[in-house]
Amino acid sequence: MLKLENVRKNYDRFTLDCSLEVQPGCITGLVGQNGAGKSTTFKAVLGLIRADGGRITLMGKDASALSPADREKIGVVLSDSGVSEYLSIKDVSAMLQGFYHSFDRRYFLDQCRKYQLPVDKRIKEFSTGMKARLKLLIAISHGADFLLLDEPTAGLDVLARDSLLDILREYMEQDESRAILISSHISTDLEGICDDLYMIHQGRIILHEETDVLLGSYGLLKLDAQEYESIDKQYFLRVKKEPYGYSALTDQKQFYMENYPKAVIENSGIDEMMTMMIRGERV
Amino acid sequence: MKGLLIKDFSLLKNQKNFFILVFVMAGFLTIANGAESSPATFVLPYVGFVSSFFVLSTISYDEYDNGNAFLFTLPFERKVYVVEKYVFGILTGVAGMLIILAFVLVYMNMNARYAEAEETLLVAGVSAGLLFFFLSVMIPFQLKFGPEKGRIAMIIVFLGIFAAVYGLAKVVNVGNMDLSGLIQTADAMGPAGVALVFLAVSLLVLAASMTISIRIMEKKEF
Repeated sequence: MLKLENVRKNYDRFTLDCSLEVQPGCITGLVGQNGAGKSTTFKAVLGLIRADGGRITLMGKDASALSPADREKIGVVLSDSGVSEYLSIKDVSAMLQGFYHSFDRRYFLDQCRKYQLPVDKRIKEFSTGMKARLKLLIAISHGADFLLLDEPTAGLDVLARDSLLDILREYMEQDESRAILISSHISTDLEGICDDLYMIHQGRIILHEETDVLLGSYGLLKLDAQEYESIDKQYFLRVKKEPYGYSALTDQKQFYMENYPKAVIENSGIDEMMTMMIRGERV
Repeated sequence: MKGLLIKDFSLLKNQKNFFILVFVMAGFLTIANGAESSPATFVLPYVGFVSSFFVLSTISYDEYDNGNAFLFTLPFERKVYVVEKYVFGILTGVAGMLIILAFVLVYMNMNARYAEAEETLLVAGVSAGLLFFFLSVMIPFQLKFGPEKGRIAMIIVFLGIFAAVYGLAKVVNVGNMDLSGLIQTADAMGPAGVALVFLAVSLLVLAASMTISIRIMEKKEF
């Protein structure tokens, strides 16, 4: 569905150098801190900025050669931008009908009512949560094959995030060939919904793994100095010095559980994994 | 282009009170003008400019709060965005002028001032030409520099044009030039002919401006 090969973009204080792939039928997550390069990646894919190098293939075509007809097959949420807030939902639905041949106006307005979004008020007057829901409804109301969602859950409380993720699950169930690239700095959002995850840091992908493997095989070992000296370190990805000794991230949790039954091994959440990947050192 | 036009007309609809006021003012000025000259000389360009310059506001609305980033993910090409701005500016300007022109003509007819009808139409043609010219200058500036810097850049350009024309007039000494040939040609063409030539030149300027604007938008990053 989407393939980025060494896509580069140079700014004064930041360089993006990113490769990633989204397969049909998959929800792929892009997780990273604020300023890690998530939005830059989305903007490069969408042609809002020009990459300085590398190749972006979107739905089998070079991303820069996408026609308006191809763009109709994409639904987009951007973290820092949306439809003009001087418009009302009614205005927006008329506008979208002018843009998309397969825009489902009735579905869109029904969903807006379902999520209690007033259709006559200017969007300017909406709360953060209402704006976030509207952005997502706009992205999914024209039967897009591929969704590019940059921080769709930003600024939402837990319940609102859950209902938003439910909308995405429902969207995927309607057609198995659909795909989503979704980013967030809140990793728990992505754990529950993504098939695979990319971690991005300072413009580079530092880890890519299937979510099941991340949650099943990755683990965090907590070792005192003596244990650390004697343990087999060949499956350590990163090690970090701690007040009690060392913590170590491994992608072979089972190996250590079998061979070092007394070692403290915890299931690591994605946040901890990311902290280790960023702050820890290679062995 | 349809979606973009719907968006801009929706934005226009939000300002309907302002435009109603403009038309009421223009109507009042037409009636208050008196019999010495055609009321069209002021009200036509006034209404035309005020209504068509709303297109500059739509560019600001699009840019507001980084709105362009999302807008340009929608299915249209960048050049279509540019063409739509010109189409919208001309549509609103011409529509505004036609409405007030109809009013002026009906008003003059009611007062049996038939002789001024031709003058009024000439004013309409020249106003439309001027309108296209100003849009041609202002849209590229607004697209390139945005509302704040665009205004400053435009003032500099107009001052530059004024200085250049003034300097040129000094150099070639317009006061002593023989313009009778030009006047004769204009006379031969009649008011309608002059208005048409003026309109044609404005359209050429418009086409050149559009080409520049497209180049500006193709290069932009959001």
